[in-house]
Amino acid sequence: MDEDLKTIVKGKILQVADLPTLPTVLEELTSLMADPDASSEAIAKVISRDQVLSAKVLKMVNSPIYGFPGRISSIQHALVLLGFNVLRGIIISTSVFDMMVMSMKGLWEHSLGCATACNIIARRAGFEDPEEYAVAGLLHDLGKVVTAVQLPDLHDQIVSTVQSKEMTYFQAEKDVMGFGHDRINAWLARHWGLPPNIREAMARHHAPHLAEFYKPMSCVVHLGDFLVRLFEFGNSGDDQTAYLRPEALIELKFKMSDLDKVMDEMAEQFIEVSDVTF
Amino acid sequence: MQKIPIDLARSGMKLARPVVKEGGMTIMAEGMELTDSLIARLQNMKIDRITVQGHPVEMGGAGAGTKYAERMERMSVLFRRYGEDKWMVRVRDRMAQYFKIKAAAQEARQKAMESMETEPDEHGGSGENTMETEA
Ligand SMILES: [Fe+2]
Ligand SMILES: [Fe+2]
Repeated sequence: MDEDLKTIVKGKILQVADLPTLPTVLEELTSLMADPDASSEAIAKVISRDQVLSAKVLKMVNSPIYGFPGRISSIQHALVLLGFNVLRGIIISTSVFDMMVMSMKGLWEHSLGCATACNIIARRAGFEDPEEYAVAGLLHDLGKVVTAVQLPDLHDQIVSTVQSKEMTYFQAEKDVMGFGHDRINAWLARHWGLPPNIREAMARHHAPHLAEFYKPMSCVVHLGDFLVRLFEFGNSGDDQTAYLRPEALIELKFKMSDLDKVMDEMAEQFIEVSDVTF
Repeated sequence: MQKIPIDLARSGMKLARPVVKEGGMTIMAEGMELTDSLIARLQNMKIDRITVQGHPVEMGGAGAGTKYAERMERMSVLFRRYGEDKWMVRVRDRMAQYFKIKAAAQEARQKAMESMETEPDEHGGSGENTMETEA
């Protein structure tokens, strides 16, 4: 579609950062991030001030998704074990999803499921810091949520296009807006100053072969999204599988039998993960 | 392994995970076999969910309690767009095969559980159990 619509949509999408429902903590964290001297104590203090948020963050980091189930007792502890980027990703996703009421509960589950899958895939591929892959999975469809919050009319059009034209959600977005949540993800990630690997994975999870700098992370999220749809854990907005790029399997050096192992672990963990609700 | 609401717990089910109270205290160990009196005790302690071995309860809706037979049947729906795409057809068939194997195993386990339930409990039956069953 035309450039004008894109500019309008972009402007509206990025206003999400000004919504009063987003914790002020997020803004402070983004500016702390720019300060190379910021200590983890200072960061922990900022997060801990918001008690509701801290409780949610602690619940999340103690789920099996991040690999330390039930073992993280404080925000400070979470920062040491998981790092600032993972924590910030969790804060962004829980805050944004909080704005959505029940209508998008399925997408939250889809995101949790994808995060779980990404952790499992990253470990199987032998990558370091699997929790960073998990948080990329958690954030991978954030653009869909923000569109629904900021542009409910466009969102409704997308949903009805999925139905009437038998399209995937991603195709319907392009049909209605001319671009998809992958593009919106890139805007949001830049806006919130997320690290480049998570940003690229968010922007390339539907086309990981086009990733420029962080192909492995993009491929992990691509495969995680594919598998979580296969289990139909949660709801990504349509009832079709995504196209599995063979390049992603090649990049991860996965054979089909590796997928079996990943799926076995996913089924085990979904039982626990389905408990992480707010 | 399946997480079930306590109302659906039945004697004979075995815990796949320990039951832990909010504060972190373990109340019942993993592997323990449930009896009616134990279930009543858990209810009194306001434990609302437990994780048991196998997949003894059929719960409606998709989600956590993966039913593999259902997954297998869903493959043709999920892949409906890619009937012409050689690679995706291969992926679909491979995934369907995975769920088929899992479904068979799940069914076998379920059958084993059912036969355990219908068999008269003569060998190693717990005393507690006979005391509480009314004729
Ligand atoms: Fe997506
Ligand atoms: Fe997705």
